[in-house]
Amino acid sequence: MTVEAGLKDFERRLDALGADLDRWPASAAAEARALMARSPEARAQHDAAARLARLLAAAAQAEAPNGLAFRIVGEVAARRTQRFAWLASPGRLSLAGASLGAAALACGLMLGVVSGANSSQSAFAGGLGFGGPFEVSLATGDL
Amino acid sequence: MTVAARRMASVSGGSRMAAADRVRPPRADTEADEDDDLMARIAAGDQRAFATLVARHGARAQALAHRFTGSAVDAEEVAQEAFWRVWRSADRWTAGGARFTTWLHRIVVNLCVDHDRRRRIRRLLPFAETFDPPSDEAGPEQTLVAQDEVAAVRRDILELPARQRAALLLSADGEKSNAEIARILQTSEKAVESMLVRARRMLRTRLAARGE
Repeated sequence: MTVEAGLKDFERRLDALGADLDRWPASAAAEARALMARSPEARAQHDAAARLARLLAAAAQAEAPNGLAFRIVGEVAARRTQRFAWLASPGRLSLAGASLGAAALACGLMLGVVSGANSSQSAFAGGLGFGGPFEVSLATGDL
Repeated sequence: MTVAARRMASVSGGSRMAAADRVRPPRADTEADEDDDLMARIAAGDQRAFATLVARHGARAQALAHRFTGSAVDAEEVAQEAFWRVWRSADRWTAGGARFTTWLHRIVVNLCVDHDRRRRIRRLLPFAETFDPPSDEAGPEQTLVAQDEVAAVRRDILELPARQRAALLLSADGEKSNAEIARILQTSEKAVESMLVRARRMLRTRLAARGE
């Protein structure tokens, strides 16, 4: 591999695996150290990656606001209470009744549509179908 | 995939990750074992154990959400919702599978990505600023005055696509391997490497452009 290709590959690995060579696979880390030993450009790339890693570590930090854990626990407790209250509420029963009514209506409509479709088929057969004798006539060439 | 693993994956918003966790070797990690114990107690309705779990992991979950969303207020909402899901799903938690922190961070990231999507949609609405206040990161002018390069990097992070942003923030403390980040994001290690390459390249270019 040429030095230029080696540098390009090294840069990609720095971006993919981070600047801490101890966290790289052993063989890749050994190659990287050998490259850095003979190439000032590789050392500069590593320095830039290490600097970015330090900046990222600082940028990712955020101080927890005071009372955060207390508020989270309080919020979860409040939601549990709301949930229990809703389960025991008459409103839930009304909602269940309304849902049942809606389901019954939907079933009724569906049944109506299905039976309606059957009626249409029957009407079609009765009104426009020519029936068995007609087909027999066609087959025997009477028509 | 076990039934329990499937359930946990569906709670956190996906199913691809559980297969990767199945092949993990047994852990000798004390902190993870303590989390497993706490989850078992929470499943039995122990509120004190829940408070302990929140005290252990709440700040980190909030920090991840804060840097992802750019807003401390939104981050706290995300953290509250994440722990509500933990409480509701504790009875389905199985010790010895995925780490609790992997699961928690996956919930947080999924909530953050949803938050990001909603914000993008809200921006299309008239009077968007009313509903969507700007992030609490320092603006370019403030950054220039304060010469605060960390604030500038935070602004750059907020401009990254959601998945790249998540991968970068999860890697920033240097404690998680790319394999663990892949489990959190429910993707392959190669995909995480690719996200990190694009994200770090963009940040390096911005740093160079600022002449820092």
